[in-house]
Amino acid sequence: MISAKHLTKKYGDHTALDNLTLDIQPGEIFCLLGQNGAGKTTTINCFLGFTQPSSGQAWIHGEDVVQDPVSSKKHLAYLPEVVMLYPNLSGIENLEYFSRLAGFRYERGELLAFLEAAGLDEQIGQRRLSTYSKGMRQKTGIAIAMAKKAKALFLDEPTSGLDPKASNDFSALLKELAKEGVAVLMATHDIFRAREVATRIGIMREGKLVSVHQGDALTANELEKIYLETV
Amino acid sequence: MKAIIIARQELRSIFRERRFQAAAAILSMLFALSVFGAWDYYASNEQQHTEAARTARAHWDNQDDKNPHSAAHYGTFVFKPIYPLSFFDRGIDAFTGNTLFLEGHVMHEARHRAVADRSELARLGALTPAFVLGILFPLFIIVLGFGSIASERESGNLRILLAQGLRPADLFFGKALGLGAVVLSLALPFLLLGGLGLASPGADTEDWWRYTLMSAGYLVYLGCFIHLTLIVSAFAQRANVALVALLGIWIAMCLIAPKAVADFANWNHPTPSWQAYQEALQNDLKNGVDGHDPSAEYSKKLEEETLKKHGVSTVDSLPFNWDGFIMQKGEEHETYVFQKHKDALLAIYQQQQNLLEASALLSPYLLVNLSSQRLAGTDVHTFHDFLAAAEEYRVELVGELNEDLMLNFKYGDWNGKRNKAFFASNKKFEYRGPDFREVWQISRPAMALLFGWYLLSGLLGLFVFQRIKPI
Repeated sequence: MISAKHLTKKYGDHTALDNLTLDIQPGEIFCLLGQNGAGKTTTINCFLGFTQPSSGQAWIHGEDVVQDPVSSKKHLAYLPEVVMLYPNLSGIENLEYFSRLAGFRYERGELLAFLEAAGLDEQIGQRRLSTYSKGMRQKTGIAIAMAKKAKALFLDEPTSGLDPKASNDFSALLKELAKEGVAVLMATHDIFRAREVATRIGIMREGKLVSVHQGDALTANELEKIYLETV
Repeated sequence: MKAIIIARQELRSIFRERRFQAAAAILSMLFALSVFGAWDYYASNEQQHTEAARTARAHWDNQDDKNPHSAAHYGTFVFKPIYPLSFFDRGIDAFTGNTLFLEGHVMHEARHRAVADRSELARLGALTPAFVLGILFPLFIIVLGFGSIASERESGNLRILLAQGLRPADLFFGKALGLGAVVLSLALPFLLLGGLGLASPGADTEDWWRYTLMSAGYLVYLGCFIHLTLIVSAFAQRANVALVALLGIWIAMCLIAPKAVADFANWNHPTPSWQAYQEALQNDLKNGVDGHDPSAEYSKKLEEETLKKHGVSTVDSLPFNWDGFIMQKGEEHETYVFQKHKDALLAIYQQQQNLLEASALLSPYLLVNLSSQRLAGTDVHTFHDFLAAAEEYRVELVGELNEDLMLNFKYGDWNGKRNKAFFASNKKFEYRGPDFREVWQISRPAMALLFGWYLLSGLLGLFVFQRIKPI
């Protein structure tokens, strides 16, 4: 579903992403751990077409992200660290706008159902986003991903700055999406959250994916130890 | 289709912004004031002009019995018509004056410049619809649009938008359409309101055509600014950088360029000082017949030639009145000299104008300003056309009087007089100005360049958006 083969990105002499080969299957949550500058965001940017790989290939749902950038984006959703969306529009209006851009036209009831599934009730959905907390905006972002019926979800530090309750809700949401067959690639610094949601965890250092671990095969402490030894 | 979705979102989002509400309220008020104020100005000026023209002619028609040449000195006033569209764009009218005194021997300058009656602040420009559309609307577009892309980038929305599979071209067209719709929502009601004013007496079908072209020109001009705003916003990493850059462009294009280009044109093709002009004129006048000085060198020479031609020894033996003949010859010489110097001056003005038009490529404001003034009939071309028509009329009127003196009065009969009936039968000044066909012909290059600006800025926008960086 989300695949990369020898994916490399160089900026001059600096290699930001080094020969990444990866396969994330439907229903899998793959967390990328690593320090700042390890190559997590570059990996996501390559999949999203925000940066052109220097070599190698990447596919989403079988579509090459370089050859078919628009077509490959039909299958993905993306949530950055900070989801601002449009503060002058309500949650439901934001959802409707992004859904229509993705080619979906929903009735109000359907839009509310997506928001509800993301943890936002009707009353909140009608409020302008300027009144939302960061957690509520992240949930709106998830609702946008759900409404797009994305088969691949890319998340870049999505729980950064969320309170524990909001972070926990967010993890539960991700698991729900994965259950429905969405392949998730999440870049994060949060070892404990990664351990909690991930099917597999990859640790990156200096652009390389240096180790991959099964999420349920390690305790949080073991993962932290491996992480600290690796980076 | 996606462009329409983006445009609708843009429109909805902007309409809900307090920034828009405040700016739109101020702009609407200024636009309304400019339309109503300009109409009031036009209506009162038009009335005064009509009244003054009628009075001037009545004075001519009803002047006391007098010698035809005395009447030539009595003179009369003619007035440049106040065109209905001058309510929209007053152009150079306030600076050139609309009144011309016509008399024998002298080609006067236009007088009664409106700007002379006002404070120095009047030189900054009047609050006309042209000023609001040409200067203030671009500022409004900048205030609304500087963050179109830069803010989306800062907020991370641009990444989400592009991740939706949006084509950059859709984003550009959508943003441009959205901003364009906001601008239209404010400009159209006032353009229609201005159009309603044209339904008043005095305006004809040609004026409607002119108004339609002017309005279209301003909308295309605002389209250029929408493109520029989006391009700068797409380039800038931060919204505040985009705002500063756009304000710089606005100042350069709308405030500095008109003055700088005019100064450059004047520096490149300098006009003589008033003193130098008058000195050269007086020198040339001396080298010819003076109708009032029969003993002068050139007059004596003319007398000798004329007497020889007619085979007589004294001027009173000529088959016509020598006084009228020499007056007309003097007039012809003076007209030639005045026209020669005026033509030389106009040639310099034309060179300056050509440079100004060529430099107009630097700023769409110069282009819209040029075409707007031309269509309104308040431009340099129309003013020169009026001066030429007035001079032609002066030559004909004075010629008519001299001919009467020459053929119907005896030599030395300065006490002979003409009555009101004669003066009332003299040729009238009937001037309407360049017709629509001519105006369109001279406006077309600037309009075409303006449209070229619109297309090129749009293509540049597309080019920039294709390479847009979401990070």
